[in-house]
Amino acid sequence: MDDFFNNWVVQVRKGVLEHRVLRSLAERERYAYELVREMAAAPGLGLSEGTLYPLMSRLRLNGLVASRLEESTSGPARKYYTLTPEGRQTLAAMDHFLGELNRPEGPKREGGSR
Amino acid sequence: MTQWTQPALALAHRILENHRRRFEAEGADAAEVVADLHAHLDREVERLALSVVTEEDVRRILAAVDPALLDHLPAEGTPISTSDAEPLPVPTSVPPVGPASTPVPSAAPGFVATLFFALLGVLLPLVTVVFEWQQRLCASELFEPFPTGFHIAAVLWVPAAVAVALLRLHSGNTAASAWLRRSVGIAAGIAAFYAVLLLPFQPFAAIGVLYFGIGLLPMSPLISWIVLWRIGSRLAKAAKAGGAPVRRIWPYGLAAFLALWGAMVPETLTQIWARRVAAETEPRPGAALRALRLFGSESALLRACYGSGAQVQRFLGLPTVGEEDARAIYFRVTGKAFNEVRPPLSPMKGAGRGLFREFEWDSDLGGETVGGLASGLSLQSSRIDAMAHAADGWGYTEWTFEFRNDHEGSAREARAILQLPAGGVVSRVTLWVNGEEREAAFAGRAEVRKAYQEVAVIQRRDPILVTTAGPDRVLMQCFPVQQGGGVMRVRVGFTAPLLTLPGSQVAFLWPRIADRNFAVRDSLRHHAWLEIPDGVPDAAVGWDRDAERSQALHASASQAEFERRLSPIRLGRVPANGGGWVKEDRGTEPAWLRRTLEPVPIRGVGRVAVVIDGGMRGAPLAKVVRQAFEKADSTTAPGRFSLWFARDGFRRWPKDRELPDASSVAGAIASWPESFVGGHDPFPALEAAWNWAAGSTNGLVLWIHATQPLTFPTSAGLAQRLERAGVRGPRILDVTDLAVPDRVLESLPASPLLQRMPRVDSLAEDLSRLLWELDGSPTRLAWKIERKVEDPGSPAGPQTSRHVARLWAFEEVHRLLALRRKADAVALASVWQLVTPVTGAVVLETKEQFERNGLSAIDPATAPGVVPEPETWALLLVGATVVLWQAGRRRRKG
Repeated sequence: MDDFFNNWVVQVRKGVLEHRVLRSLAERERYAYELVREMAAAPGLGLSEGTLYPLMSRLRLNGLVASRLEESTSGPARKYYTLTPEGRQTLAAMDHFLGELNRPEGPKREGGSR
Repeated sequence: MTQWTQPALALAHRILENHRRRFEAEGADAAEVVADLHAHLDREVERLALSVVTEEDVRRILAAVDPALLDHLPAEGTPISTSDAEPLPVPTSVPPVGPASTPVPSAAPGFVATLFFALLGVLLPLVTVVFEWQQRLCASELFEPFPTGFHIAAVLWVPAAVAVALLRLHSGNTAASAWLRRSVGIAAGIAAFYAVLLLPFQPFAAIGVLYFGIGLLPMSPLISWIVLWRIGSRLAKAAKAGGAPVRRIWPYGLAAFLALWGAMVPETLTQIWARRVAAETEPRPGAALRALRLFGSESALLRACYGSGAQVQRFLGLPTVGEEDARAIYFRVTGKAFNEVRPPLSPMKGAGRGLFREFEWDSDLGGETVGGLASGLSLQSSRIDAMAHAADGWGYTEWTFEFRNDHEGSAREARAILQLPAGGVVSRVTLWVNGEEREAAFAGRAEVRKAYQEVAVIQRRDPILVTTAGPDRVLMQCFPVQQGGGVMRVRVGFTAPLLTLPGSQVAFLWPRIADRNFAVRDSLRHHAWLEIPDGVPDAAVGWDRDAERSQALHASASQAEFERRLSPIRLGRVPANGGGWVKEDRGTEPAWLRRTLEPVPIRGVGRVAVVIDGGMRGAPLAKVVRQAFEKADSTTAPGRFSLWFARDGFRRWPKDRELPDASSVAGAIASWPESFVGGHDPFPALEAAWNWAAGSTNGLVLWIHATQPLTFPTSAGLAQRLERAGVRGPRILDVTDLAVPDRVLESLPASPLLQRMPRVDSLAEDLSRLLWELDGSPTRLAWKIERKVEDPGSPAGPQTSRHVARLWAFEEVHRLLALRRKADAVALASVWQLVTPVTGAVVLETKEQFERNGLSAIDPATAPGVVPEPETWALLLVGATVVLWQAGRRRRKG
């Protein structure tokens, strides 16, 4: 049973992680290092920082987030992520789906609205 | 500052590159993820405050980031299997230390390159700036490189940017320095600006360097630009290696380049408009003059007055406005004389030769105008000794000037227009040569000017020249005041009638400097002393009475006090029986002369034309005139008055309407709808007003004006009318507030119809007195000269000073001139040693110079002085007796 549960948790985490990242960026623009450290420290997710950089790159390639570099006086340029309008729509669809999923009577329909 | 060991760098690179394929397999951009992880590594190093980063640190940090990163790590030296592995990135810290066997690729230039960059990009621009600061070579030969402080700051930016960039490149701390790259871009734009300006001279500079080893300085901007371009490339390389975005810096360079050109736009437009104005022939202003008045740069016009500025035009080889035209336009735009304001020195005037190399050439030397302020030349001391005699109605004043020239390179000519009391005539001119006094020769105006020009301008010896400059004014010029602190001491003495005031009073008036080409230092004091042998003067503002000598007043006044606060001295009532006799024995017909104060009937004044200066400075005068006319109680007569404004031609106000009385003139001034702007040619207005006033007998033109520093070709019409009128025609009475430059009357022929209103009190009070005399007074007191020819012996009564004879001779010269007997006028003025419209005074250094020019200096014994002349002693005794008698009488009464 433990193996099964652990495997299920891994699957859930994978599914939820993108939602968490998009949710976090929906609040405000975030500095990559800060975002990665915040996600890695989030209880329950159990992710390493290294896993998040490929995820962010993937989200950017999918057009859900945008990045920009800002010069820093104390080190390398800082990379900032922000949610694109497309990312905002996706997040809304994800929110809607998760809301429906958690209803006692179950979701009204399958899939997102994108 | 953090330092990475070479193995640590290599390990980080190996670890991250090892996972490229995995990142790609996860659908990510592998290069982006590797770069992100590098940046993450840097941030961790920064957070942990590591001073040296070792392999162990790299392992520890990357393990914390993701333990999987350390899996399947290939051995050191094994090629990484990814085909698109990026070159080893350089972290933001300094180059590695420790057991590195190969140096990290660095953007820092090597020793030789650094040396070249420092020499050509830092030292050469600095040497160029200092050289220009000291020598002003570019400014004097090519163009002014530093027209504003902004340009100086811009030029200094270049070596500063190169120096900082070199230091940062060598410290390795460049990746994040976008501002540094921008600063280099700006510096490159500045260097490009000067390189373009100097582009036409580069071939000559190159030839100079190749063949003579000189001429590197004009190439400095171009060389600096090349250095900056190379440094910019290295900074870009360093930034790229550090993972920082490399943005374009040329927009910053372009902005700096355009800003420096933009700073020249006002001057360029001013020059274009000024050229158009100079080409205009109509007195009414064209669009160019209106544009200049609205948007023109006053400082650019001022530079044009001294033949400098106009960089863009000079660079493009386009014509610029001439100095004379610029001076006229400066007046028409600002209403000021160009030499009233400080010359437009470069912002680099502070020290070095720069200060003294400004305006080397004095284009007015030996001419008949005061011209521009000569740098380095100042009035070092000023002493005025005067004596007045109330009973005879004369005052004699000696004004001693000491000029000093601190200019290092050039001797200077000191020039000034002196405003004498009304009716005054210069009767003595003295120059000190090697501490000895030399007296002047008095001769025809053209002769003395020719002698002065030959001796002063050509031989560059010591002369002084004094000639008239319109009614009651003389132009004094002396040359050379030697450079490097040379001092020239001169004295001008003049005899003037005392001014008559209502109530049998007379007043002694002081001379003024109306125009000058030298500075008057704030610390300078004019020391004035007045002796009145035959009376006790009234106390006056600014004057002190000597405790020991009640017949003397003295004052020590700054230039401003001297101009505005020293009031005339009222000498009380004049005895009715007149003054003493003096023998006129120098003319063709010996005679005895005596001055008496007598009431003379005032001829009823006919039409009165009031002409007001419509220029910028005419506004306060118009207000004073309006107030004076409001208070005046003039006779009402149809068509008695008319009002004119000298403004872009002339305007009569109200249009084509005559005014019946003074109060209607005041009302018309109050309703004048136009603004007072710029400066204007007054001749069209004066001529129209004169023609109108000539419609009645004994007409009067009241010409009320501020500074008039120009002559105009439009004067010919009025000059002709004055000459043809002789003594019959409207008088032109010139009214100003202060003694200001006035070339209007100067450019008209000597005529008894041209007069200046004597200034005793405020302008409002003097105008009120004048208006009262127009109508309110049947008679006024005037000095009359009694002349006895038939009696060969001495008439009864005391003998007095020869100043009485000088004043008679001066009047006689004018009478002879009115009769067109110029030769007789010259002869009489010469024997009586007077400066008149037809004669002048010149002091030359040696007897040979006098003889070569057909002149002879006067016998010093015949020169007047403030020490009473022999004839005066007898009179003084009489005066002293009167004073003692009055004192005794008061004591007996008391």
